[in-house]
Amino acid sequence: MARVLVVEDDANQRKLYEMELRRDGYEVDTAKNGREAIEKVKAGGYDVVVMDLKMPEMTGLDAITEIASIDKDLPIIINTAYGGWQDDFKSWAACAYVLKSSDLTELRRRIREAVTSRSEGSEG
Amino acid sequence: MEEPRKRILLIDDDAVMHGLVRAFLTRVGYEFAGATDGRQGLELARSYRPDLILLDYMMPEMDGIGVYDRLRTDPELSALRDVPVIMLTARNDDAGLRSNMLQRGVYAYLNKPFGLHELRNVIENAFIVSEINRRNLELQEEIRRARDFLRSVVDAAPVGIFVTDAAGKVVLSNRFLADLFGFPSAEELAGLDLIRESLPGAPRLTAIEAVLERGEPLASEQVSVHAPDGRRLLLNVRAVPQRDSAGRLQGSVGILEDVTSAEKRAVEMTMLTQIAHAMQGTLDLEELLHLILTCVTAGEALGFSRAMILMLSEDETELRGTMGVGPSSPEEAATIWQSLSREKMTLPEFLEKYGRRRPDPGDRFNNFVKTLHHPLSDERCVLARALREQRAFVVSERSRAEGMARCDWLSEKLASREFVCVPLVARGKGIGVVVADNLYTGHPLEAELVELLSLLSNQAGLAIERARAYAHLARQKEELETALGRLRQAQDRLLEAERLATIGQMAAQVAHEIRNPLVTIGGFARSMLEVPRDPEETRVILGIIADEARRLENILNNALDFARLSRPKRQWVDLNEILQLTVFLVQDELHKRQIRLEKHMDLHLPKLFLDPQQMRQVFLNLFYNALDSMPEGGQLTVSTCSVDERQVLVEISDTGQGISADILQNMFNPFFTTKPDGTGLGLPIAQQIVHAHGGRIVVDSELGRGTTFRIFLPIQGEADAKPTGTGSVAESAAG
Repeated sequence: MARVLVVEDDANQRKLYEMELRRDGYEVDTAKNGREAIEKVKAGGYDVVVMDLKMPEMTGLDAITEIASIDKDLPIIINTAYGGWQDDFKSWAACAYVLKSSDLTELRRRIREAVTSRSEGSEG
Repeated sequence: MEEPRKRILLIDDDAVMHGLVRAFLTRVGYEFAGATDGRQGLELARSYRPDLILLDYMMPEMDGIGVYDRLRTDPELSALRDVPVIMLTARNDDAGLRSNMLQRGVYAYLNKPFGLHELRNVIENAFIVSEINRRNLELQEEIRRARDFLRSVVDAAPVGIFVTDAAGKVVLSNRFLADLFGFPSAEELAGLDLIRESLPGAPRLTAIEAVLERGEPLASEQVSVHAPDGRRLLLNVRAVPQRDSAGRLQGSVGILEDVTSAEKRAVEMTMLTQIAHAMQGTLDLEELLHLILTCVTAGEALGFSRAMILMLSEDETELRGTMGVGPSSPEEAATIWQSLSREKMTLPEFLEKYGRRRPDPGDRFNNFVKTLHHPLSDERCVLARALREQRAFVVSERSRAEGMARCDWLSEKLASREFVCVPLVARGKGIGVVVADNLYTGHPLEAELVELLSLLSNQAGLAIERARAYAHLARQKEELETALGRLRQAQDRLLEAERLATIGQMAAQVAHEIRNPLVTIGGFARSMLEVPRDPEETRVILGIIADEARRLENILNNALDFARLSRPKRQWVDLNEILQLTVFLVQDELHKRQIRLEKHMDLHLPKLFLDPQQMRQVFLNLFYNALDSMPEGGQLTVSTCSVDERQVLVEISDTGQGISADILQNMFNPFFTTKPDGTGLGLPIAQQIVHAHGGRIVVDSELGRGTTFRIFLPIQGEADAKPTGTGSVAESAAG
């Protein structure tokens, strides 16, 4: 079972992603901010990270850079309500950039792709 | 010092007489010498040099008259010619003889025998008479010299001089006057009646008439006369009365000057002045060149048949025909002259009518001139020389034959036997040449005319330089204006970009703020639609949805965009200055929409402690609102004043369409807009900024009349200006 880490400062949204992704059959873990996310990634075992960008304490972009340095192969999907950072080179360490929507179809597709490519990569 | 003693010579055959006279004369202070016959006497006289001679009439061999005649006529005795002679005669000599002696110049005669005192008297008288004679002669010589001097002065005078009697008849005149009227000498004019007969070729001289008949103290007049050689002369006559010592009118004295050349010079100067004036009237180069050439060819001015200008090319390698003015055939010339002579215009009128235009495209001579060009490297070419040496040249058959001034290529093209070429000089540098000829009139190119053309060309060179400088300036001005226009556009774009950036930033912010709760609400709603939940789970989810909806409301209520406004960066500023600066930003727009701007600034406004950039944003927003409300033009009024010690007031009024009551109620709400492309944030932001500065903004509007915004801003010290409660809105957290 693939493990997903959702990094999101909004409690209600964390609940939403947790509920929906579990329903999809993922093992879902959450973090409230970048720092917490890094701690969890260090502990290891995730197949994909879903990362909000605008968070207190440590922004998503900084967290992405940090995570990439810990596990460069761990796919990170940026999931944000804010389109402004798409061109920030730090965001290029992520494998996808999803604009937050109440329709989670796009997010789901990206997670599926990431998980698939990761499992293929580890097999190959 | 004592006078040398006078010498007396006695010539007498009587020895007794010698003894007596010698004894007596030496006693009374004379020197004495004696001779006993005429020959010996003359011999002695030559060496003795007597001051007086006593001569006996009756002597043997040579009598007194014989001696006397020798004394007076012998060239060898010329030194003694004026020595007085006293003749000694016998008492019985006749009276005829005596008077004959006196007529011959004998000073006196004494009858023998005579008393010695009588002798002394006669001698002394003779010395006195001799002295008188001598002085007389001196005086006569002096008078003669003075008369000659006067005569030579009068004759040498470079003016005509005349003296008339009371009837106006010439008493005295001089050579100048005689020459002027073709008399062989001044004497020939004597007796000529200057009033009635007058001088040949001249009208009667009324100046003399005025002096003699009307008693005027000074009269002058100018008369035009035909000189014997056919020249027309302009003479200036001045006469004064001549009176004797008793004041009786004797006649007139006067002079007569030839002012022909002075008058001509004055006329030329007037003409050149008129031309210079006309040249100053145009700054268009083409028009100016045409004017110059019109002056060269105008009959009232220089009157050349044809004239052309060749300008130095920009690379200064050749002269290029630039413009020509003149008829292209004798027939055309005749037609032009006839029509011009009918018009009878003054030079300024003529130049106004014909000078200030450009040549017709079909002008044959002008088109011919434009085909001319010649390299400056042809050193023999007179045009190049004129330019280089900066002087005029006349090219004639003679000058060509003598190899003095040649320009064969141009002579050939012009088909002209004679032409003149003068340089156009500006600031010491040759810029072109004027070439002119008299092809159709055949008039000779006299030195005076060439000089006149040179003078005209000097002015023309300067005028051309001025027109060129003006054209250069005009080009620069145009470039500057274009640059300024581009700068204005760039400024407008920048301003617009700044506005859009602010708005865009806010919009992005709004989007972010709203999207988050929407994601939560929508996400849970979809999830519930897809999978039925138990009542407990449903309650939790609905709770979340309600939460997020409330959050959305909060976002709106907190006016998320302007809550993002940064804290004011305050400094002490001149509010008027900020307003002026902001007005400047919309000036072009006002102009474009034909909106008048009225400013009433209180110059004694205290300095305020506020954020100039934010205040500018406020005013700019209000100006744009005002502008948008006046699509058909109108008036924007901006005023400032102190309300009291605590606050100042800024009023921004328009004469636009006004705002209806329902819009007035909502206009400060975020996202409320009546404009198709509006953001609905302008006024809320303005209000937010004013509030953040501890001020307030109110609006007053009447439909169809206009709208007035009033902004009250506090006058406060730095200490009072610490952030207040209103400022804390800016601190609202982002999620």
